[in-house]
Amino acid sequence: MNKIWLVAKETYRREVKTWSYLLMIFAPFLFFFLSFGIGMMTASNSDGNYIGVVTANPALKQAVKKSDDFDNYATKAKAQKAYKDEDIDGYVLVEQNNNQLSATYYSSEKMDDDVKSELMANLHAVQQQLNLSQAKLTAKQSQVLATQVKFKQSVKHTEKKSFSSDPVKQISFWALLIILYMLVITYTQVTAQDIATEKGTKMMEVIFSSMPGGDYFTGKILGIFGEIVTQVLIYVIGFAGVYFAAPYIDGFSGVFKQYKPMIDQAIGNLASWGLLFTIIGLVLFIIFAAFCGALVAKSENANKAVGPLSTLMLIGFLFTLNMSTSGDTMFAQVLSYVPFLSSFVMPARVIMGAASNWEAAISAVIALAATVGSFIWIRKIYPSLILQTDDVGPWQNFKRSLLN
Amino acid sequence: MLKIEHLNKSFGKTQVLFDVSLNVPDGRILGLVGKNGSGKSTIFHSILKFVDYTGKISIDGHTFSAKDYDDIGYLPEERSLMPKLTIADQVSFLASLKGMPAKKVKEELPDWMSRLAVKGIPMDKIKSLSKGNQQKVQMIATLIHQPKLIILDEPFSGLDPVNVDLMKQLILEEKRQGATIIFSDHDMRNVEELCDDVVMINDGRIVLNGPVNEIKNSFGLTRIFVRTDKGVAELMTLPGVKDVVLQNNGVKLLILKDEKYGKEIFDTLSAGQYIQTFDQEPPTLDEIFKMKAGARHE
Ligand SMILES: Nc1ncnc2c1ncn2[C@@H]1O[C@H](COP(=O)(O)OP(=O)(O)OP(=O)(O)O)[C@@H](O)[C@H]1O
Ligand SMILES: [Mg+2]
Repeated sequence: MNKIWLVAKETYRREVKTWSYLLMIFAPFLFFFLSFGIGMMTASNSDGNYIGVVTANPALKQAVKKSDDFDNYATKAKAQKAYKDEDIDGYVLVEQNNNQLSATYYSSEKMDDDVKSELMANLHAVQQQLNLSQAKLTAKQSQVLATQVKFKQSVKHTEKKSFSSDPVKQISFWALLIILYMLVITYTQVTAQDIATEKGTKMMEVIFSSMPGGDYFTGKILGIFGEIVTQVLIYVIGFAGVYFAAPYIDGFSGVFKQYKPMIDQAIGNLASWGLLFTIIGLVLFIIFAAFCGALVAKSENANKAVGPLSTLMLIGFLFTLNMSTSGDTMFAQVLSYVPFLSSFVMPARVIMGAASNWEAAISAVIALAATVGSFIWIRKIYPSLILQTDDVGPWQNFKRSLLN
Repeated sequence: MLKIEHLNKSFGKTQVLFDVSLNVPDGRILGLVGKNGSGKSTIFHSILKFVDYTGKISIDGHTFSAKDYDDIGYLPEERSLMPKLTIADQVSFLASLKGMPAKKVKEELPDWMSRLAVKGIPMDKIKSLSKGNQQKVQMIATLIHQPKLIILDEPFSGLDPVNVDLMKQLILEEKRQGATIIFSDHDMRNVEELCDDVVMINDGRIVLNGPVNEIKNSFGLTRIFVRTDKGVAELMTLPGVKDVVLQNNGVKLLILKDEKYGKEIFDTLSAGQYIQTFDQEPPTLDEIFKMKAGARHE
């Protein structure tokens, strides 16, 4: 066990120290900050400003107070000053003449449609009250007039399940797909390259004279998993930093506030089945990447060796991508139980609400069994694969190792 | 003591080792010789459990187990290290797998490097070393944890004569410190010089096995080196002579059926004549090797 850790540590240390690894980890941050910085510069004064409202009506004042988009100003002069100082985008002057409300908007630009409809709704409500009090109705009459349509939704999912309409599901779906894709493509390459390079140095006999080859394989996989955990942790910390700092960043807090519930829900979606399937899928892909790397005799061929894995992953990726429009097809249902592909398809089905927890659990168990089985099997033949250093091609190498 | 009993090994349908049995007693050096492809490396791979086999291999009376790893030093036939690592990192890592603390490696490494005359310092990258120096670093990695059983697959190949001598001294030093050593080689002179015991293997079968002196003497003093004017044809007619081989310095080598013919030949050749050289000896291991392995080898 001690030696397994030594190998894991060494594997981890060697990879994490390389430039390519550091670049890979920090490139997205660099990209983010660059694009964010540019975005901040170009959009610095268009965001987060309010519209001033000048009104004497108490009900309207109350409504404005509650709104995110409007601010009360006591007098027109004050609103004008705030507008000049660019504290607000513009201001609305609401006047009341004989129970008739009229509003005028002063600004350099037209009012946003959302904002306008919010304002209009408020104005309508106030006007309605004015009308009712003007009509001097009896209690009964006003009650009758206040009767509103009862609206209830009874939605039956008769059409194909999909998530094209739900932004939260879309965010979760895309995040999951991209995270899994990125991690799989990166770490299958890293793994195969690492193992093929090591094999290429032909020093594995020395190592296998110090510890069982199977233990060495376990150590390698642990080390590579450590690399993944490091990357994911750095991203999680980076994301958490943005997540918790966002409310305090000027000009960003507004947007963030608006999307926070969605983000929270998306995190919820990901942190459940998505996470489990991502982990299982990754480990499965990595185990086979190690296998592929061990099959070739030259490290240059490592990329070629993971070809079948890349294809498999691409199938999973593209198929799941297509599911965002085609929905939960029969084919998707089948593939969501096939190891390798299930890591992409099943979480997508769960997110779109097409698969129950039971189905997800069964698929997870199948994927887990496949992973454990492959691990045990590859662990067993790994030493003979690695010690087969003649350049006879992957297939011959594989057959020979079974004879050992 | 390393003990191999009835070792058989096949790769698929091709059998490469046939009923190989040998012992390496504690504190002795055994040389394993044989042609290319005769199965030397495969024997080592069997000892180290790199391959499956039938038969029994035991170390100090028990079959190979995880505990034994730390007591073995193995130099594989294909030498190589991780080019991007420093000497210190490479040796430390390999030694740590043998249970040796990195701190101790750090302390001892400079001493080893000067003993083996490795040019450079521990912080040098492996790739900056010449091939021979890399081999020596690998030898350090093989021995630094003070293994009890040392397995060397062709340890002298690729080294110049000076370094071959250096390596021989190192092996003898390990023996003095009580290590049990088994190594393979093509060059019989190395074996004759270093080994207590020799095992000769041909096409997967042991053809000779025993202490070097006993083996040589078992062939008797069947070699006569003589300096004489007589021609080859005439020498062939002498009693008991199987063959005559011209040596490079005018010396002729007579190969006898039995050592008992020596006196008779001496009498015949020396009758009334001065003989500058007359030397009766056992065959060299090299000759024995060639006899046993057939003339076609190498
Ligand atoms: N992994 C393998 N698969 C199939 N055949 C093998 C394998 N390893 C060795 N052999 C065969 O076993 C025989 C013995 O090989 P081995 O390497 O043990 O010989 P050797 O005595 O070490 O030769 P050399 O002096 O060239 O190093 C050879 O015929 C070789 O082709
Ligand atoms: Mg060999």
